[in-house]
Amino acid sequence: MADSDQWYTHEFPRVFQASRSGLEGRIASAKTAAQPNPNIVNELAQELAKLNKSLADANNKLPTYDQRQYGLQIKALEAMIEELREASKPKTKFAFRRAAPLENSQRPSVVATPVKDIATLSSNKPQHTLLSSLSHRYISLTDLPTSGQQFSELAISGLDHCIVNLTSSTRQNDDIIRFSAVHVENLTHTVLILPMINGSILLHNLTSCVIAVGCHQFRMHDSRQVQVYLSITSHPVIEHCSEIGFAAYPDILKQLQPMNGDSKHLAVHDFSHIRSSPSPHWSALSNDSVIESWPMEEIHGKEGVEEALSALIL
Amino acid sequence: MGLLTIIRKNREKERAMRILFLGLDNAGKTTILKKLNGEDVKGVSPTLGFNIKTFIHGKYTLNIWDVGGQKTLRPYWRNYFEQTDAIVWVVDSCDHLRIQDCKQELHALLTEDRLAGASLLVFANKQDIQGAMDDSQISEALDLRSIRTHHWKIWPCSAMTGDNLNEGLHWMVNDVATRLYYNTTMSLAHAHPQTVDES
Repeated sequence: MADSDQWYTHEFPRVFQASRSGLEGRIASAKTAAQPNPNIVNELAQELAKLNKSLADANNKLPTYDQRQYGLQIKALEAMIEELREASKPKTKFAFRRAAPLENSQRPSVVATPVKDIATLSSNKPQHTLLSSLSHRYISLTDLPTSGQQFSELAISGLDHCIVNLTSSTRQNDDIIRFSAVHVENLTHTVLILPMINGSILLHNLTSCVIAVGCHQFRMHDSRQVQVYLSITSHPVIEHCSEIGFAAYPDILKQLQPMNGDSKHLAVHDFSHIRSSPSPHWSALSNDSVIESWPMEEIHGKEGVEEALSALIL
Repeated sequence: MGLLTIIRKNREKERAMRILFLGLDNAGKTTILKKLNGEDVKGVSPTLGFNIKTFIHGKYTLNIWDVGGQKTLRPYWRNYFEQTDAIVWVVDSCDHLRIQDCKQELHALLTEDRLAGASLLVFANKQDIQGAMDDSQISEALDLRSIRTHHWKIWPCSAMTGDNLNEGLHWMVNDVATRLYYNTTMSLAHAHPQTVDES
């Protein structure tokens, strides 16, 4: 492919221009005759069709701009030949007649060949950890689908009336699980307690929830009535959210794992309110409304979970 | 010597390329750029608006526009399309939940007239994280094979470790160079990007 590409880039323009100017010259000389020979005109039209075809063949190997320019040049030649054709016709008596259909000029379609080879970095099949579709449950690290393994990517989806505590205090083992990326969507009436994430967290569509997390980046979309307890070194982002409260990551949880030094949890960027005025969609949680006692111990039974939740979520 | 020749010669002197970094939010666009530039990647905030960076890669100057990927910012992407030589589409390989969104945004982007002919480099970012989809899974999920309108290639990479970032960029620069500056030699001596200035 490389060789033919070279040919198109270096040789094609030259070949094309040579045959184009040749044709142009012949058309000009044919024009000088009082009544051009129709055979010559047909011959010229055929030559032009050939040229047009060569352009169509080359079209994915030429720069777009060049393609367009060549296309325009061919159009101009077509018009000249059409003129000649008109002139070559013997004068006929006037009569109403349907216009002869014009020769369809072949429009080059833009089709590029995809570069097919795909580089490979790692071939091992990665494990995708998903926590989904649960309600009225207390969920801890031991409940994760691949418990006992070290994994670093986690997706949580579709929880209702749950308490999720993934800090390692609930786990006696020494191997600390580290998360690098967390994606959360569709939670209602759920408390989510997460450790320090060595990366970003992304949350969608949360309603009446409490989140505690430490991370590098925080983004929340399409959510309402969420309390966020955050330790973060960059600006947290909310978008299409309302009634969001922000506070610092609880001290009691900080003892369990190292956290970021300076937290910017109140330097929130609201992408739905890009103005200098303060955003109406979030506020800082006041000291008397922050949660003091976190449900760190496992709670059994549906009633127990509901009771604990009612104390945490208004 | 026509106008086209003059324009091309002029362009050659500058040897500049305009590159657009796009992708969903949280894909790692800014982090990739910072890593390429040798800056600290720990404190990167989600991009509000856009960043511009200028690199030297081989003998070419790359003007890179990194535009925020938040949903509210996506309608503004079109403001940056003019005269784009290459698109870098960055994918968060861990984002199983939004990979369909990612596909739709990409394919919508490729129908844009003003991006016709631009090379497409897909970065399957965050390969350092366990549980990330690999490049062939992403290629399938985004249906890259159906793309006929652009030269494309996917590279698995990591903005954290820096793996494959230069390699991907190198492919892209070469692909653009063969289109724009085809009468010059294409070899780029093992290029490592270095910053000239930054705004």
